[in-house]
Amino acid sequence: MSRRLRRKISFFFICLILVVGYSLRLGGTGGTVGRGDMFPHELRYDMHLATAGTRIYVNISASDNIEIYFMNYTQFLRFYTSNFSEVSYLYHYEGKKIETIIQVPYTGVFYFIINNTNDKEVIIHESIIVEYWNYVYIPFLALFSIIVILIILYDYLGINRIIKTLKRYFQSKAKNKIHSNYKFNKKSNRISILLKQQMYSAFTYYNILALSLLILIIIGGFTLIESSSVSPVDINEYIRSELRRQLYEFLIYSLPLYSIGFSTLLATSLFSNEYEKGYLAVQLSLPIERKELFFTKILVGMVFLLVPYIIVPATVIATNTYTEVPKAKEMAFMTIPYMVVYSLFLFGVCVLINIILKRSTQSALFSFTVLTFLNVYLIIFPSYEFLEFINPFEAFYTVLVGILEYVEKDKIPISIYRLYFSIGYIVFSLLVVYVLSYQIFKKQDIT
Amino acid sequence: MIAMTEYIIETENLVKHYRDVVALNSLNMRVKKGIHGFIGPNGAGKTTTIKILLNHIFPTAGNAYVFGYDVVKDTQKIRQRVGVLLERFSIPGDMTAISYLEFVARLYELPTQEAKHRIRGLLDLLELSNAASREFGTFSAGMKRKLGFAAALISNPELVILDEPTANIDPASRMKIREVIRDYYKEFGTSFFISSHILTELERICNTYSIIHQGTIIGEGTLEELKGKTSKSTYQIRVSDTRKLIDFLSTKEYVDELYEDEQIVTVIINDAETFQNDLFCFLSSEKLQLRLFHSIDDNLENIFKYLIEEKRA
Repeated sequence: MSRRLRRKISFFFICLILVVGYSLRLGGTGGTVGRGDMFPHELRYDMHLATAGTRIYVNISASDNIEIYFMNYTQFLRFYTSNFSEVSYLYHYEGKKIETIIQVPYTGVFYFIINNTNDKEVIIHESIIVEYWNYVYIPFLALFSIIVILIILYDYLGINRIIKTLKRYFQSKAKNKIHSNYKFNKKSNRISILLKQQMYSAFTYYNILALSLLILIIIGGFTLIESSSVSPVDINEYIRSELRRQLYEFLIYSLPLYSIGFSTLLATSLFSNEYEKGYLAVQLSLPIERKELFFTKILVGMVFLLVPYIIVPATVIATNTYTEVPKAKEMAFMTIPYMVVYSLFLFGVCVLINIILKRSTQSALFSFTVLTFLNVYLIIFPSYEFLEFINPFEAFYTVLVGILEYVEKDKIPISIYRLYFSIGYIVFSLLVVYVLSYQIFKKQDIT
Repeated sequence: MIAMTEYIIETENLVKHYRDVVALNSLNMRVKKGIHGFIGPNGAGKTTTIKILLNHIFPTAGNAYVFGYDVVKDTQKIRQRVGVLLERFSIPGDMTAISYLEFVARLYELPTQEAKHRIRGLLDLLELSNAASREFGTFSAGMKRKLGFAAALISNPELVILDEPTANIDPASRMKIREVIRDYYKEFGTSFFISSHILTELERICNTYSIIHQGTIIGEGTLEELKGKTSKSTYQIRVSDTRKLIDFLSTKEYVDELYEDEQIVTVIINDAETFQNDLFCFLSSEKLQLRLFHSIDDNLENIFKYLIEEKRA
């Protein structure tokens, strides 16, 4: 392994540390909701921004039976716009005294709802909702840190020289020691050669992610500062809570903008670096088939794609081994098929494009761009709830609901931020698609 | 597929359209083993032809064959036997010269020892040994071309397609590349198909040529054969009275161009036989002394110029 490759790997793990570190911090918000009298059929809700694996302690006692729901943003929207019988949710409890721990299955914004189903008033005696710090990421953080530290030690503190000296000592009897730095694998076929090369290049792309993650961390820091200033005894609690809600909404709805921006950056890097026309032409002048190039790129993309998804369900499952949280394991497993289906869908799109445009190498470029989008979305934001935001139908739905809200004031809880961001998201997405398509299709040939 | 052909490259009525632009217009070309020069003015269709031969783009109509294999259907069979240096040779900036050559050697499935030997040999030969571990991004334009040239030769291919191989390269390295091309041809029988604008350089190494103009081949063969395709000739003449000679020649219809430099008259004519008869009659009648008379037609640059001019006319 060359020093350059080690450097790339360490950078990759630094990026992962940033992601995981950010996830760790996002577990640490908390508060109370709904103490006091509740009118007949009254609903109260609180919003939580939490990462996968975060545990939320819930302790509510009331004078009569009440219902509590824990749901994601989309479910929350539908909850307000459809009948109760059609409501879907992540967790649901009912009773006078509810004490439980909920585990957040994926990263995103969640709503905690208390519903008084009775025809009379109900007194909420106690209502405590605490989000634990998301400690489950610590082992991963430690593991990645160790890898980076080992690489740094190896490269910069002379350990590589010690190992090389030892190697040389043990190889001293070898006949051809002068050429020992050249090792070709006779058995390797073109696919494995290409895979190795693609993996090497793929690490480069991750470097761009560092920039995006830094921005996210800065925003995350602001969130934490803001949320830590909320105190239950503060006389301005309500105002602050409302501000917090607005900030969360701002964050969650700006995520697609970030990701589209970073995807564009990444796609640009594809065009300007490895997949610039010159190198693509060089590769396609060697004994490499277009489909091999395409296949290996997709495969490498899928491997990198899997990294965060090994972490996220694993953390939830790992947590569940020492906390008996209802449904947590099922939730964690639920994310896996969702991701696989989603990946396969995009993979299918890439293949389809390749088949339709097989008469030119631009199809390969286009496929790589689609894959890059997929990678960035899923690596930065390991949340299947988030994927609903990148679905244009959801964005249109949000806009529609926003218009309804405008017409029938106060009936539907859509903030102006949500509306603006959804409209902005649609416009920006269309713009990015147009710009990228233009970039790809403006020239007929690759060389 | 054409089985067992004497031609290493063959095209049949090759047509390529880029929307409204006709890049190749029924191009018929036959290239035998040897060092072949592919020349033509800018926009004539040279690069388009090379792209089709490498299956980077697809012909609108017609067929192209390399070693008798169809370039569209049997791309892999061709690529395994062909080395290529493209005009815009580029690899990732952080890749080192040696790692790229190793990558290429592996793709050609070279045995380990053989690959090592060739990599070292080519790096030495092209004076890149000191830069073997340097990143491609730090290379000068000339070094990049040389690395591309080394990669094209690493598999010891039967045919090497070179697009502007000596662009941005210093004179010493150019000589070296010419030498390597000659040596590979003599030693291994490697054929070269070279597209270049530097005609004087091609003239020094090529056995045969193809001249392309507006997407069509207008001349093909050895220099002698090409010379036979044009009716134009260039002569340099020096006589005892230059003024009289110029006055005489300037009235003749077969004279296309005429200029004088230090009493040497250079004349481009389109009817060599009439010109020679007329000239010698004139010299004897005027009793002028002939001091210099020679043809300078065995020059690729002139032949290229004539053929293009005739085609335009």
